[in-house]
Amino acid sequence: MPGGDKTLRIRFCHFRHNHLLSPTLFGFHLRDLDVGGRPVDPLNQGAEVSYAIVLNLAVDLQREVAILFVSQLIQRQLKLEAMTGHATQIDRDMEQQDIETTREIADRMRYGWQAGVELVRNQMQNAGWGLEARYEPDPLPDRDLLMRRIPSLKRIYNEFQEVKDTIDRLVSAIGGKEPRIGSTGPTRIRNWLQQRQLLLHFRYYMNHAVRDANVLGNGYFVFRQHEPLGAYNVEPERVWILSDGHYRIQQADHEEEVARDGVLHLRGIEQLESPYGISMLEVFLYHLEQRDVFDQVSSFASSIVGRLDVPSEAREWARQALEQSERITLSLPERISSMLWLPKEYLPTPGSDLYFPDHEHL
Amino acid sequence: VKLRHVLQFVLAWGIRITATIAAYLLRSEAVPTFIKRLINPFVLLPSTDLLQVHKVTFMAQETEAALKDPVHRLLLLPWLEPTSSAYLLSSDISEKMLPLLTARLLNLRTQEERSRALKEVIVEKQLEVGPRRLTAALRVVQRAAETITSDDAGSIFRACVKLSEGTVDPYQSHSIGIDARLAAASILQHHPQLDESVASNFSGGPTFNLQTIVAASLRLRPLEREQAFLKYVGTWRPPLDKALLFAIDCDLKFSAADPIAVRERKRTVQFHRLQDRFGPWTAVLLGPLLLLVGGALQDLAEWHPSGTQGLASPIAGIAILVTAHVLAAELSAARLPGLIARHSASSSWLIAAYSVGMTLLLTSATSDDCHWCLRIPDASATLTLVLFVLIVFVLWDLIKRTDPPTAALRFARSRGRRNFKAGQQLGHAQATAFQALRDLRAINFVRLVSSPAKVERRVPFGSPRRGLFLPDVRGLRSLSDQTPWIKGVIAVHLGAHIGTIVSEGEEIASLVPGTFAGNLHPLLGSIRKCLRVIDASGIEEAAEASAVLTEMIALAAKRGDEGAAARLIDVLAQLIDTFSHGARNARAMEEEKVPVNPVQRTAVAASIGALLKSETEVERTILSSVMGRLLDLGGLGDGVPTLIAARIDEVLGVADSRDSALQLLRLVGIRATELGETGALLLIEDRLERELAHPAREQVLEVAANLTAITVWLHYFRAQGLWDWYWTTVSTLGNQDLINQVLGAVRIGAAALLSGAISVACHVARKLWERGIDFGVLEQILKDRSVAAREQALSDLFGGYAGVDAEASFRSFARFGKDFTAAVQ
Repeated sequence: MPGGDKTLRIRFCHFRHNHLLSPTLFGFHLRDLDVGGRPVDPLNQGAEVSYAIVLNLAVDLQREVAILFVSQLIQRQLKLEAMTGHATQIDRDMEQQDIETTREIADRMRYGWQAGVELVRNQMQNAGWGLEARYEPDPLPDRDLLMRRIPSLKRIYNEFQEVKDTIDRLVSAIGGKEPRIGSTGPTRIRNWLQQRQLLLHFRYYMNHAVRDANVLGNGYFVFRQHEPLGAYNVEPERVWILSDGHYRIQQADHEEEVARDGVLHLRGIEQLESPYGISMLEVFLYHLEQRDVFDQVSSFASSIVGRLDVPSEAREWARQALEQSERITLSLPERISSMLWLPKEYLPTPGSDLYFPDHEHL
Repeated sequence: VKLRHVLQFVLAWGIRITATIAAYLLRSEAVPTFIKRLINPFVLLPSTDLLQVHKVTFMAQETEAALKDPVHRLLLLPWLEPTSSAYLLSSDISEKMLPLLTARLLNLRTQEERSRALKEVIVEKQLEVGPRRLTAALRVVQRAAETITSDDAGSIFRACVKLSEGTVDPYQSHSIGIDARLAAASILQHHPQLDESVASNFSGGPTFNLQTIVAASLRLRPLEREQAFLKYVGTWRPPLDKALLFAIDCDLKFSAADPIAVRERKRTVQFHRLQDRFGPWTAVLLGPLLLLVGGALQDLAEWHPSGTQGLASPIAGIAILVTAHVLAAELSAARLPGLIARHSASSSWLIAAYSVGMTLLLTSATSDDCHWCLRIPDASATLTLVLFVLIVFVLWDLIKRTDPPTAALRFARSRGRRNFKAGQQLGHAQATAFQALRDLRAINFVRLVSSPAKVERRVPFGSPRRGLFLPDVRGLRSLSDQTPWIKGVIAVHLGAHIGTIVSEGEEIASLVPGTFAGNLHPLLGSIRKCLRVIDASGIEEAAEASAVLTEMIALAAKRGDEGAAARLIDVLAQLIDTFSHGARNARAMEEEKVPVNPVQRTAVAASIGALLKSETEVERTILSSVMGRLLDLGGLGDGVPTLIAARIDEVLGVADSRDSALQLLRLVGIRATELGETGALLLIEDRLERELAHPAREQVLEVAANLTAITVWLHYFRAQGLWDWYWTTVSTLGNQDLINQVLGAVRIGAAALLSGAISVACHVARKLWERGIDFGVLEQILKDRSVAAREQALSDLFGGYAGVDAEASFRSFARFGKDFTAAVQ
């Protein structure tokens, strides 16, 4: 859609959601990270905003989610431009703006999705913005894009207790107890197999693979091809999935190609075309970024607020900024918990023996 | 492989076979001495220096190449008996040599020699031998740890533990470490004398690796598992949560409910099955057959009986037949339920008699001049004779048939094949329905709803007839392909009736046009064609028969005729077994939850109905035994325990039947545990909780404890949950009936120790300790002979959870509880 001097570039994509994380997650803004794993401002000149929509939803709902996202994006930008002075209430202002936008879109959508689109077009024309939208099936089609997110995803798991608790609950639901070997054959063989399972730490390896899948997007459970039969994990950074479905695994000293049957590949969220999965924690990259930003703001403001050699306006700004940072940082656990109510309420409390000793964190 | 190698193999095997034959002949007394003298040198052949030299040379130079072929590997095995361990230490070997070297070590002649060689490799020259030789030695330890001498076991165990330490990085593959861990566990499992020294490493807390090794080794210890566990925990003195995690790892995880696969013997052909299959046809054709055979025989024998038959004798015979038939029908109707009366009033003998009678009538009425029936007058004499013999059989048979158990047995036998076929039809229908449910989800204009959608305007489709509803998935899919516009504008709602019997006119689907405003008429016909309802009269007849048989059992029970009731129960069991066998055979998808078997459901409903109307204890006992048989007959997925548990409230509500209802509850609970029917168990738990409010709660406590105790044996993974339920439930009573509460807990704890579920025993002991129970006093109480005798009887009656000596196992648990609670912080 042509517009004025600014153009909003949006990429829509899809993912299959297993609804374990949250049954009310319909889509999310996919953060873009640079090669060093730092977040990129999606509204910079030439950058693109990616929005991932849940595929296994009614088409009507998917349409509404997409229209609402575009509308909120525009309204937020307009609100930002209209702000004067120091933005020390930005969190509250934006929340209020989102509520209003949601209400407005919901009103219009009663007359069909075309009415919603019409509203968004009017909003963009009034703001003097153009729109370039495209569709790509996978949120993260490129392996490199996945790899550069891994440090941030690990931080989310390690630093947000609510997230760690949720992932551990998911892992616990699968590997909380030693799997039972049932057999119609002789008891001696069954007992022997059950014992082997314990000695080979089968459950622990499985748990690590499940955690890797949910946190990092991909978990690999590699079965040994020779005696002693057993399994081990491989970090996602060391695995390449070849076009024929085989896996190339980089070892410390050499590269090993493993047949398709020898590897169990678990995915956090399945993509439509790419063989790689994406993390269930992608949603929380925004929260991590927000916390990092406000930690910096807080640190800078703290250095100013006690100094008498700076103007009083600056000290006042610093005081307000500190307040805002504290408010946002403190509200983060609550906001995260509100998203994760389903696993917290319905999955069992994780046991203390899910992972190998000293590997409780990633 | 060169020709030389082949010749060497042939030579080697030739010598070995010759030596074996020679050794056999030398031992035989039948062989003359001079022959023995001749063959004596051949026995020594394999140990000659020549062959030893040959073997070493061969091994050193050519093994690598030869071992590529598995056949050659097999051929080489007999030659792999090294005379000393020197060969093992010479140099490292390739990966392919590993199995061979392992076999060599295993084949060492004496235990001492092997043990010495293993110690040399694993303990003394670990760094010199190279990783593959070390691996081979570790694998030999895993396989033959029991043959390692006591002197060497300790040092080999310590070396193995050391090798396996540091192997707990999930992202590293440690092959030697894993082999060492397996070897260490194997040694400790077979050498309990090491417990003392290994336990000393537990003071201050074991490493993760050592804890795993000890737990795994205790798991498969045949004897004194719990004493060894206490030894380790006593040295360690861990907090409760760590002790419990260790105990879980030590648990054997035994489940007696796992079915044993036995290939069933093919059923032999029984006479009554042949009779059932061919009897009716033979009976119908008997008259004409006799006519033909009789005529032919007379022709051959040139026998011509004098005179011809008039119409009088056939008419008299048929009249007698009809009278007997009417009498039998009336007698059956008076004594038997309708379905069985119908069957009893007619038999193959009767049909045969009618057939012969009618043929006789026809022959008597036919003219002598008739060309095509030239021999008829001669044959009619035979027919008359046969008719009167048959009339005698018919009368005898009809009278016998009116006896209820006999009538029921004959009815069930005669329906055997039909019931099996009906079961097969149900099984096929269930399998088809499951597939259809999966496939229908992929058709985008089809929605599966549990009841007709009432919130939209729709065109309902009623069932055209009574029968099994199985929609034509392929037809619906092709409809989607032919009319792509249908997507998004038309929805077809299919009810939850797929694979079940629907009544005529019952709504089975509906067409929801949504925003579509076009002509629906062409679409209606196409959709209606896809809604197939197939005849299920066979299944319904089988269900009806089970209801009728249950009714007969109830009548016999009311009369107090236990013998007749028992025979009838057998017949009912036979009917259900035949039907279910057919259904399971055809279904062949045990992993899926299947709809309830209508025959079993009807029998359960009828039995419970009869139980509710029962007036005497005898009636209730007989009907409870029917329930017991039904529970036994219900297999995985049949849901019989759930069906009974769902109506247990009604049974418990009947006056004076509380005791038998509680017994039934126990039986249902045990069977539900065996079959893994969680829903039934929840219902039973709920009912028992409510029954605890009753003043006479002693039996309720006993049932709850027995159910938990037997679950420990049947399903390890459900035992912990059931124990938690038991203790939480009985704790609500406070100190009321404390002795029964504690006795129940002891039963569970003793069963847990016997079944290898140490963690459950630990939980029980801890809870008793928290309740302030003194284990010393408890042991004294359990010494009481009357308590021991009662507990032994209870255990024997309900599955044998306390083993052969209840007193010993109870006291063993009391001692375990005392030691465990003292050891844990």
